[in-house]
Amino acid sequence: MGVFVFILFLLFLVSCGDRDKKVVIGVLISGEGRLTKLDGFKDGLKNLGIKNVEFLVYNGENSLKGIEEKAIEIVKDEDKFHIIVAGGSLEAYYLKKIKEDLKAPVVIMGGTAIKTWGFVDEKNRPIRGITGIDNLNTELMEKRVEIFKRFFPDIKKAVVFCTPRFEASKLATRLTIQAGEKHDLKVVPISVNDVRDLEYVISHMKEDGFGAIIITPCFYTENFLTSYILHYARFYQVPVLCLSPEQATKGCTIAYGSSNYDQGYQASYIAYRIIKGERVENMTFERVDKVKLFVNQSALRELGYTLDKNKLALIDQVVK
Amino acid sequence: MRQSIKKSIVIVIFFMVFAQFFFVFAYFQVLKDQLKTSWERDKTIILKILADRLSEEINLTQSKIRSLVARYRSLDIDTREILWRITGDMEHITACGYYDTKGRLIFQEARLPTLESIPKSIDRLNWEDEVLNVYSNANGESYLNLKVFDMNSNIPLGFIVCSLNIRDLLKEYTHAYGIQKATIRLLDSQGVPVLVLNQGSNKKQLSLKTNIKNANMSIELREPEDYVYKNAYDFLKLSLLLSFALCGGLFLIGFFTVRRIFKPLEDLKLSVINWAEKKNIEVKGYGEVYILARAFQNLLDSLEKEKRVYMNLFNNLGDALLLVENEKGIIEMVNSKFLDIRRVRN
Repeated sequence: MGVFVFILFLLFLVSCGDRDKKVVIGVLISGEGRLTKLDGFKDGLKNLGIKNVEFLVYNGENSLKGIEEKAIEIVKDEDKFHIIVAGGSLEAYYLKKIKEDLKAPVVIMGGTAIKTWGFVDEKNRPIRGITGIDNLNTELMEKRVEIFKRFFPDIKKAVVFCTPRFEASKLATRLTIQAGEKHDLKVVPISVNDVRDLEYVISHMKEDGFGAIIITPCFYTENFLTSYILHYARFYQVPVLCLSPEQATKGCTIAYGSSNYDQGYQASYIAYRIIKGERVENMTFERVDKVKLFVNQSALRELGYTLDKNKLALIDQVVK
Repeated sequence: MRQSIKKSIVIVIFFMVFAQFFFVFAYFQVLKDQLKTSWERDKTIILKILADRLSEEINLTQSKIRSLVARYRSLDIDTREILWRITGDMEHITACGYYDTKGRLIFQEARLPTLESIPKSIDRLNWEDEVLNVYSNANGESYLNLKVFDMNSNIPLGFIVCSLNIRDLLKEYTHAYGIQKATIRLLDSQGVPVLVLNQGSNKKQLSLKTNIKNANMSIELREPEDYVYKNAYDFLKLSLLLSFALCGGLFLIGFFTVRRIFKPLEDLKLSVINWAEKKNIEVKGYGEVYILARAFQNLLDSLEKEKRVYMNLFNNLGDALLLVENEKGIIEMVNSKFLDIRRVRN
């Protein structure tokens, strides 16, 4: 009889079960610059009611080697995770390079050129267990050039600093050149080896008729050069066109795109759906839903430009 | 008799098991009906709110577009920049186009690179705000094209068509009303789905539909039966689990009880059959059957004692006695005096 009662008690315990399971999320980011995406992602999940979450962050410290090493670590620990979150397309690429058939689904908190990286098929369906947010950084290059020309119609030649190591970066540069041709702006990609090279080019570019610098989605430029570019460009009074509002707050003259925080926040909804049991195959990449134009007023003023009412009407936020 | 008692016990147990399972399934059905009724009641309310909010949002968006145009126009801003501002100031509006009074597209502004959602021309040129159509692209996005007539000082200037990202809007609503698991379908006037949010599996689903005011569209909510009846299935699973455990326990208890009742009776039967050899009824243990066995043994002992007294008397009597079986006349017993008289000795 005692055994019978014990069995009943065990059955009761089994039926009660643990209903609010802890969600463990592995995060692979290329560097500190992408931590704001994670902030948005965390806030998003919190607002969606997912509170029992543990984040294990693997930071590649802005080097390709570092990202690869961290990707190996995350793959080794893959059994721990319900979801792996990648800071961008590059991180997702390394994860899949290390192990194609990861058990945990991968969510990109804002990735560029997802088709070029091979994350979707011809019909934009996720094919490698990866989904997330397409931040359209490559596709928006034309729009950026168009907006830039509205602000700086007199500038005819611009420089792109990029040493493309990946196909996506090449595509972004190519699209920028094409957009320039369409909007009467000659865009010339220049490869620099170090900061000294960079300063030399920026200090002499006006002599060669180049009036602006365009930042494109390019790992090397984004992670190493942007802060130097912004510094020298301000010193030598060259306007810079950037990708994200965060860069405008750091001194970039004009930036059009989606903020890292918004991308992370939007990605949280995808992660939420995965946690709730939806399959990655059924979730197409979402395009960013908030694209804003930021202008750094002091940088613009230093260049000697003033904003008339029609130009002001174009701006979503003026950074002072 | 013994067989019939066992059978009766088994029948009673089977009846109890059957009754238990019958009531479990009956209650499961009742629970399912209740869940369906409450699902229909709750979701009808939610769907009505959803349809009303959507209708309100459409009206609100149209009036906000008009007020933004008036505000920016008063600041002497060009119409093109006004369209750009609308796409920036209003959430979920991603693109806008401006049309002349003949419905021809003059220019358009969009935040995202793709502009296909804005039609090249419009043929509904009546001077009223309306919903034109739903446009869906390969990225799974759907836009509701809203037409707003543009009039300044009672002079018709043209039309503005803006694309409202209806998918994102519905996504927000479904989360706000806790129906993230539901499939939401927007149907045109013909009942053809123009937008499907959270396309669920092909499992059997429950659905409800309601019209959206002033939009010539309807909205449908579907949820998988599995999800709606989850509590009922959970109850059924748990009940069956407990029932099986309970029945198993009941069978075990029944088996041991029956065994405990019939084992001493079996022993008693064998002892009585073999009594002539052992002259003893052996029943181990305690309880009613043991007492009965003991009483039986006492009775037999007293009978044996009496038999010995009579045999003693019979053998030691001074008279010769001969015991003859009545019917056949067979001699059954003689005493020693009889043998002495007849000089019969071994």
